[in-house]
Amino acid sequence: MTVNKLSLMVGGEAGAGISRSGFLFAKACLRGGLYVFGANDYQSLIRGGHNFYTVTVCDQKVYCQADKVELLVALDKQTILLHKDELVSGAGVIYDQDQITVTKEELGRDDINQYHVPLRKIVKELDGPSIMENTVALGAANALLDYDPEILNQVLRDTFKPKVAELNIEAAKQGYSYAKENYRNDFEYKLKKTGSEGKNRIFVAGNEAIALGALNAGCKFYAAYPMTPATSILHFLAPLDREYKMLVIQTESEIAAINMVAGASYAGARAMTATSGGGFCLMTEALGMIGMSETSPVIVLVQRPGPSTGLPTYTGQGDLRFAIHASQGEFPRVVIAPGNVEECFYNTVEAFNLAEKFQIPAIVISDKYLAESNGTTEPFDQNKTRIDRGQLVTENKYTGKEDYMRHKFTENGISARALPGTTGAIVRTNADEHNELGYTTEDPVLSTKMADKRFKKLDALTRELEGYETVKFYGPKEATATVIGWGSTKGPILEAMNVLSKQGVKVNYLQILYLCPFPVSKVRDILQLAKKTIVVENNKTSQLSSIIQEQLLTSVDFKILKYDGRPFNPEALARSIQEVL
Amino acid sequence: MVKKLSEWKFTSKEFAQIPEKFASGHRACAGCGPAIVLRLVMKAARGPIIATNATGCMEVVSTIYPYTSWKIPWMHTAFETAAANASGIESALKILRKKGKIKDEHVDVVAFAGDGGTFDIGFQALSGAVERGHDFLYVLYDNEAYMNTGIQRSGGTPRGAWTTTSPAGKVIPGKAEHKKPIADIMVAHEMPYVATANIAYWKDLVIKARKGMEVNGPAFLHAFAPCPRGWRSENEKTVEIARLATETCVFPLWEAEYGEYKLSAPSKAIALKPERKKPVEAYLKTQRRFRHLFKPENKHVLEEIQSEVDRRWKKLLKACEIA
Repeated sequence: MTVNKLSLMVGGEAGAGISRSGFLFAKACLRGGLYVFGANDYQSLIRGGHNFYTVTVCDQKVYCQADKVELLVALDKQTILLHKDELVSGAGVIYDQDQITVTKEELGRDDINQYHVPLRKIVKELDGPSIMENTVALGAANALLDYDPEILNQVLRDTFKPKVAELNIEAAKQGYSYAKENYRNDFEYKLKKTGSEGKNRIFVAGNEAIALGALNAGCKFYAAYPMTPATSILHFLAPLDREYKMLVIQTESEIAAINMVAGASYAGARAMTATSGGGFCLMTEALGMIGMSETSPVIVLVQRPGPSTGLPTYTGQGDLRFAIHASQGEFPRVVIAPGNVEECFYNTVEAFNLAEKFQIPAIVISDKYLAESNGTTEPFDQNKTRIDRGQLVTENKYTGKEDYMRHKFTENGISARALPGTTGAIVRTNADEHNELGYTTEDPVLSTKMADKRFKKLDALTRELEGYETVKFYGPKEATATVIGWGSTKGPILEAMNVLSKQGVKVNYLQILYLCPFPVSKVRDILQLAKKTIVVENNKTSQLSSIIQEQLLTSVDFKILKYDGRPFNPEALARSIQEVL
Repeated sequence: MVKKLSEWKFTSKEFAQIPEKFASGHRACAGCGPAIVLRLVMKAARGPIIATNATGCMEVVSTIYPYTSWKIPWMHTAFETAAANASGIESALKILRKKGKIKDEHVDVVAFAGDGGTFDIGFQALSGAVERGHDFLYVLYDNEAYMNTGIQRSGGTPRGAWTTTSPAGKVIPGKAEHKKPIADIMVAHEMPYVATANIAYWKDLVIKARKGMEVNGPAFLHAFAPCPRGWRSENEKTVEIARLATETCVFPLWEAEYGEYKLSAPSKAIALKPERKKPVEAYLKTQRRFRHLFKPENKHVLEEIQSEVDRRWKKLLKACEIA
């Protein structure tokens, strides 16, 4: 018997409530004090097609989905045919044999336990909507896993309105009793609730964590245009605007979104927008304007595979170079890549602070996998964050002897910000090259000086970042190889390290969170000790390798690249690492 | 069917015999209004036709490997670019024809886009293409929100409607703004042909689509197309709901040639007999996106919607020179 270590998958057609039911099951596990990772896979379709949600549960920390599935809830036949090879030997499949017939030949293996549960019949008897079939199946899953059904009931009560909740609880109960009555208690995998220490943990997705980070940082203005997979930030913030005294605006395009945010930032509000690659393309002109005018919004870039529309609902890391270089001309910026939900929260707060302190655009880059997968984490700690709005002309009145200069030359390039409306200060800024007052200039000497001023801020920023966790290091100091990654590959890499260490292979892992400005000395220090280096990335050309080459003048030894729109799976990744070593 | 509209003796039987160019079996939801628009417009073509399609529901559902609904040359383009893309296609045809490299009589160039791709992000490209005078038909299938990305409001979403980004809560009863009068804005371009159409009046829609193709220069067809998923309405009521939109004057039917407005038959019947005009509630209550408006505290929103519908209707009658 294996207790508290399994992966459950719910699969079916789009529109059948797949991700919702997977999510509910995950929540029930969380409430039982377990660690959970929930990953959602869906196609860019309105209805039909194949969707699945994987819940990976463990009583130890779990960083990503597993390669294999122990219990499959199949709401259509396709789910069984597509995922049969992912099932472990002895796995269970819950499905309704009144609706689905799978022949021996189709299944092609005889080490799978098939559990028929009459989902449709039960729902019909309850006179419920057909979408409730998945709740019946979850009830049956609880029975096979011997998991306390009351926890799921409570989750249902918290999720639905009373009438709907009671109907669903009844559905789950029927599924539970059917499985208990008809199947011996011999399913190899069990779930058991643990002590109370896990009770406070939260279960959030990357996009939600970014939105929470923004709220925590005092973001007062959010403007965005719908684009998968960034849209859920807009959905999350839209109903909260009054409570947080902020404005949430859906614009007519990404061009409008970023320019609104630039305006809001100029006017003094902390402002953010989010988009995916296609929308970021439209934002590039304004990004340069923000660099030039020294305003300080935060831009969230949630990647999906491109070019163009690409794979709209899948994941990728192909926009790193784009984020670092977007827009014409040269100006400093900061690009931060969180690797899990916790980092999504804290890095977003940092992005707001750095943007305002150095008066530069701050880009938080994530991807679909991180944005829409749910992870278990301790509650975010507001005490660990602070708000730094940089140098401000804080009095309501500007009392300087000379006219207020928005772009005043200073030692570190940072000019104190006055907000428009401050008595005695006229705040002029300009997309043209300008002088300290913000007047247009084409003078060669002044132009050089102003470009130098902007880049002095980069030096100051680089110094500031020395005190930040720009990189993280995991694993033993002495190792056969050092894996290098950025962003959402973190979960799979950490799990792959666990797999490898059980096989006696020691690798360590360098996660780079700040990609621009690049933490050259920290990366160099670690790589100097590395016996072999392996870059792991979700793109075709290994953009991180080329950045390391450019910044450190050293090449990495191996690259493991995946660009099929899907995240790495830990065991497969461990095998790839073994192969290159 | 390569004959002029004026020579076309329009019968349902004849129309039914025209081969489908937008095939059934696509992945649109049951009761999808936009899919009906596409099917009807495509059947109205004179002969060869090239379509360009902005990102949106109709692109998402119609070409998923190994199936496609398109039996004609078709290009999926970015969200904001259908009109610009059509401009390129039409210009290329023109120059190829001039050089004698193609010897066709005519090729109808049609751009399809939803309300997001027209009212909002695609408007600049549309306005530019019309101003340059490209000979193409732009078909706006208007289901009044961004449906394929999860029901977000657009410039085409009406006042009071619930969407995920104009939520209906205790304080705010759905979208605060009225629908942008996009067809009137197109008329203001002084373009050859602008018309509104409704899937409930399919013959009227087909004739207008055909007119738009035949006219020399740009044409704009604003087709009203309910979305059961986003409107929270019954699948089988799509056509009924669409008809109510016109019967309540929420979506009147008219056409305008070079700025000259003319009411189409279904709306003209109401203009002539005003007692036929139904109150907006008759339309609003068919959709759960408006459900919250029927709470007593939101009565003022209903009144506001009615008075805005009345105001725009009066303005339209004036433009059509019907007192």
